[in-house]
Amino acid sequence: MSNTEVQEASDLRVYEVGFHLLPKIAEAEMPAEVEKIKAILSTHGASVIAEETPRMTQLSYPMSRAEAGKRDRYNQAWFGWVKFELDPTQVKSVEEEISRMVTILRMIIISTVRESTRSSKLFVSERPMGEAIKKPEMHKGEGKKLSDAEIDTAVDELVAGTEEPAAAVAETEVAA
Amino acid sequence: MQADFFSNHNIKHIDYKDTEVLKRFLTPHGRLMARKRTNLTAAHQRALATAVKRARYMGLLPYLVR
Repeated sequence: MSNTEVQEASDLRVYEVGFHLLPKIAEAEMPAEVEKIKAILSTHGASVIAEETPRMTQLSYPMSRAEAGKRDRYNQAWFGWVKFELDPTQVKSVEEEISRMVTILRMIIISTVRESTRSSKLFVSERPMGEAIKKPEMHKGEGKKLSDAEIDTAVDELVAGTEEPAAAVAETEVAA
Repeated sequence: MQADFFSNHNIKHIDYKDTEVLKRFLTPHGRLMARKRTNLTAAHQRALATAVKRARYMGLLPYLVR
């Protein structure tokens, strides 16, 4: 391997393009649309590392796109991504070319790593989105439950211990 | 010192597509929790913020929940 080859290999960086395709595209036409994106990548000298076929995704907020002088709003779209290796100087033109595609609702190009970065299958949030965080429940002490007779004898013992007149004790009992 | 969530689970790169992971660090209104509550390292908190912003732009997470 010559020095120039080493230099060329180290110049390449790993990127990922995430895209939303318009929901009106039929599922059967989906592979052709992804091929168009991959064709743009290959014309700029990119090599595909990994990809995920687009899946119908519910969008968190409506996105609008102008088409033929009319603004359409979309609540769902086909979301897919392609990971590729590319010369950094080519990224800008790739981004422009993909975003100009008529079937693309929205896209993003990020710099990433060759290894898979997905991990959501392992961890799922136990709290669904939008659900309020519950207040912690108050700790209820589990004291020994006393029967009425036991309470009566305990009260009598307390009364016997005090030197108050019987009338005053009767009053406090009524108040309680 | 206790390691943070991403170190504990050996997650080296926080992916914007992993919305289930990102949701752990959002309030019920969809706002990013403070570092005080997420208990993340400064570097991981910054990477998380970037990932959440990318996910919001791509409509995978909401900008706000009413």
